[in-house]
Amino acid sequence: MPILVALFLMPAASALGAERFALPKFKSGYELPPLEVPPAASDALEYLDVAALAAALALASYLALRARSRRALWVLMAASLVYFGFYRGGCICSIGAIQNVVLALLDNGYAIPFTAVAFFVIPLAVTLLFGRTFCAAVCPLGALQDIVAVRPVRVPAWLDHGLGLLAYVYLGAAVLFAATGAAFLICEYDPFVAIFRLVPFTRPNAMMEAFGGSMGMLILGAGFVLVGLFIARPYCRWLCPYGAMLRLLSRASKWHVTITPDECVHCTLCEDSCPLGAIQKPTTDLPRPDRLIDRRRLALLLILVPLLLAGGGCFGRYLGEPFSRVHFTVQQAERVRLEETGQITGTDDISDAFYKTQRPREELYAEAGAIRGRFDIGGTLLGVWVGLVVAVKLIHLSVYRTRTDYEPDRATCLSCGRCFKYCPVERKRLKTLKGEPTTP
Amino acid sequence: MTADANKPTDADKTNDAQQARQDELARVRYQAAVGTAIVAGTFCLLVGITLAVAHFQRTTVGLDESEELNNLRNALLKVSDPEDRKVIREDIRRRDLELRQGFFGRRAFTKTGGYLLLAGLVVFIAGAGLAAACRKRLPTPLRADQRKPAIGAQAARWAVTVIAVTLVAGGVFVVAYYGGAPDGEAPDGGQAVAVKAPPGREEIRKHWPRFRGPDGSGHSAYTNIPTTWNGKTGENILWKTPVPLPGENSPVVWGKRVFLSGATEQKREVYCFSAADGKLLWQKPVSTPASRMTDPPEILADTGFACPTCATDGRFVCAIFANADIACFDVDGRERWVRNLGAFKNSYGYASSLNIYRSTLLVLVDQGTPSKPLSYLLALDLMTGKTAWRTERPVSSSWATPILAHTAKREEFITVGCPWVIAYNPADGKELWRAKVLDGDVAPSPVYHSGTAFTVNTGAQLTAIPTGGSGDITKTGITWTAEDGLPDIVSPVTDGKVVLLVTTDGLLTCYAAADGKLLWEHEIDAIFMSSPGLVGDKFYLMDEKGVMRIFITAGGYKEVAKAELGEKSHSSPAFLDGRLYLHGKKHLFCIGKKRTSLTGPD
Ligand code: SF4
Repeated sequence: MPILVALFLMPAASALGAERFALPKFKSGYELPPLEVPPAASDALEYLDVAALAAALALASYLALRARSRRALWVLMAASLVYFGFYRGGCICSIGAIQNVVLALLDNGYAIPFTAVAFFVIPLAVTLLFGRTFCAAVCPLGALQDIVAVRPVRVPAWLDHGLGLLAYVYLGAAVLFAATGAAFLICEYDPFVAIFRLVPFTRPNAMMEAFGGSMGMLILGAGFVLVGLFIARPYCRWLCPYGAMLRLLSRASKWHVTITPDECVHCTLCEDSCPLGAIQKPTTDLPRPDRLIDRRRLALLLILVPLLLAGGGCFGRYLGEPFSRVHFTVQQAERVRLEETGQITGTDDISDAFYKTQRPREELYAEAGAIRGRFDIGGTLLGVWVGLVVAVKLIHLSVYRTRTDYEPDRATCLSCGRCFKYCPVERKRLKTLKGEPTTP
Repeated sequence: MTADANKPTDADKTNDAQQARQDELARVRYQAAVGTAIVAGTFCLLVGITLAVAHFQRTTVGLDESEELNNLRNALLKVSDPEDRKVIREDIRRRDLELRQGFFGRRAFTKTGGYLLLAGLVVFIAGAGLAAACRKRLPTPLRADQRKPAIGAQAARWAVTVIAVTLVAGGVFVVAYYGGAPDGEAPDGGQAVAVKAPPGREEIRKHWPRFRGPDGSGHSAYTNIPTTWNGKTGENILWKTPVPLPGENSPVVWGKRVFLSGATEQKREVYCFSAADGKLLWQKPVSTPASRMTDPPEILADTGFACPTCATDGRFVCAIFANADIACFDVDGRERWVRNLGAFKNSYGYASSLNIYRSTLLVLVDQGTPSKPLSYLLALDLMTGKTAWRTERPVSSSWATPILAHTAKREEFITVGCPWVIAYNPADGKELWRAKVLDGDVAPSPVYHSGTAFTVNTGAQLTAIPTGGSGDITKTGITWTAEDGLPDIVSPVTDGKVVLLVTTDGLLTCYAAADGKLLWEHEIDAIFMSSPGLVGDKFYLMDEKGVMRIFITAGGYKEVAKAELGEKSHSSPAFLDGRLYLHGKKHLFCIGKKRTSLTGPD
């Protein structure tokens, strides 16, 4: 692999060293500044990234599940923010890697970087073992939001459930656009990357390069930070597509953080401690809802499932067409078509780019048609997916589960460790560890 | 319990004092944290507002957005006085520098603002976080009646439903605003005027789309062409209309429209006349920045600035001029595109006429010298004028027009130049065959009939070349050659039985097409510039003074009729149903019997 990478980089490096065209000479004596070639990113750095990710995940899992130290997790989180966020400019990241993987699966011509695969797979695997420790202290987007959450208010659980849908929709849309080669939505609308790149560690002009000095992304990021002061981790909870995947895996994780290190004493102290509302209360001291109504509702919902899927699919098909316009080739074909039919006079950069290729129009139209076709299928699948998510969510909310203790919801708990100190059993354990007397 | 027991002991007092100190410390810490957060927050707010205001109210514009700069650039293109140009150039430089400085200044400003905002945010969050931590108290256990009920599953289900409905509404919005209007439909919802498909061969044969007609060999598809007329008396002249600017090009006709071009040193125009009454339907100037900037080319007066004949396919009409301006209009006169091919390096002036092949415009640019040929065959996209393909040619300057031959197995675009006759695939410009049979300044165009192409030029030979070959066929693939009566300007004409050559000074030489046997010669006391046409078995040949001689060739030169235009002309005739169009020095003539009605599209 490194040899391949080196081979790949070699011609690029030599090509960059020379000017393509002879440079003009100025009568005024003006000297053109020498051509600056930024050094190619070393592949060692990529391996360092993967190693750092693995180490951070191992440490985060240890700190959350074994050491149960919120403070240590916080320090790790800050370190991850500095390294993966500010130093690496928020790229590569596991969230964006979804798109690389999807594109690689569907486009044989796309050579996926090894790091993208590693960043995609490793956190998923770790979540399957230890729950969402990646979110707790490794993800730079999460870290930034966690640190700014100084005065989190509790969001009503019903709203939390409702908004939680959006992440799955976003995931579906990101997969659709990546699969069709139209856009990497997650990267284009990453609200924090502009903030990360404000600090010129490795890329002096990265922010300017990436956003052409546009304030839009920065404003979006600032908006999320402002909201994040009062609502803990809004992006993680309601939008993050990778988080949506982790939620599913975390439910099945082998181990997971617990609020109490031992047996729950039902003291109720931790009840409001989680800023994410991830603590589930015991159901034992509440009356059991009417089983008959429950069953009827469930039956109704089960009947609704195929309808939701079919409805979603049909509606999604309609969306395929407007969505396809995000694809460059479709835009180009439409532009060229408008010019051809005389609805627009003159050419623009997009159509010029096509004319330069000297390909026949029909070929472009056919290509755009094929992409539209893919969007038709993709849109249908997206619709089915959203229908499925809604159905599963409704069913999930309609199934009664018995709980005897205060427990973190495995799907939404990020293993941040905030609730630990509220538990008297935990306090006792800490005192014992320190050798202090445990009774007043 | 005694009173003493209630009295605080020393230890209690120390404890209280310690507690009080701790409380005081905590209070100070809290206040400091809150103060820091407030100051930092206010700072962030101010920086944020400043940045936002600066962003939305920016007065500097990017280089590409500056209207002033654009105006200056346009002005520079129009002005030719060196002094004025210098002033404008200085203005452009100054304004450009200002804009660049403004742009980079703004960038630096935004960057600094960004850093300040970030620093402020860090301090604010640290302060606020500390303050929040100071205030945090561990909760006390709740009594059973204080406990809140578990999450309302019902409310959550409703929330999920509402979000799902909102998503659907969002989807409907997307479909409504970004959906619809697929290819070919106008953005306003109406059906677009889609460009028609290029006409087929049968359709083209009904019109006169290019120099010397559909096949470029001067053959009329109609036999009902008048043989008598008189420009002076008006006999059989359906109409005559003055042409605004001079030009040696010949009329091209599609349906009810006749197209011509005209040009002087300064101006270039394309004209569309009504075939019905000769009314000038539209008249469009052709101008490019390049042509405004450069000096007019040096040309021969006989060639003029608008010698090449236009080409049309019933959808578009294209014209090219001596200064390398080339333009395309739709038949209603809307400019489709215009460009300049870069000053031609050929003496006498550019003369090769245009040819439309399907959706491309084929342009032969033969220039340069035999030792340094700079020639090429160019295909431009008809819709946009962009180069579709370009094939370099190993020939020097020439003035002939290529023809499109429909041979038995394929289409061949046959070009002549010095010294090669080369046939290309008109679809992609790939060479099919070539023969080295020409020399000197090649002006007579080739002709084609039933599998044989005939090429000729003074100083070389008349050559009969079977089409369909490949590679260099100079030694192997030539049927016959002849060397008498070679013309220098006038193109030959053939009916498949004979090949007729006409020299400028009036020598007519007739060869048998099959074997090149010289059949007869005939001399006419006139100067000939325009190329002859063929209607049935009648040859139409017009001299420089506008006298048309109509004759047959069987058994020698036999004049059938003679008609006068009453005006000098270099143009070749365009034959349509019952009509004949001629471009005189000053007028466009439509000759025909009054009865004939027009067919074809508007
Ligand atoms: S660890 Fe505790 S506080 Fe943190 S997310 Fe999980 S339940 Fe909430």
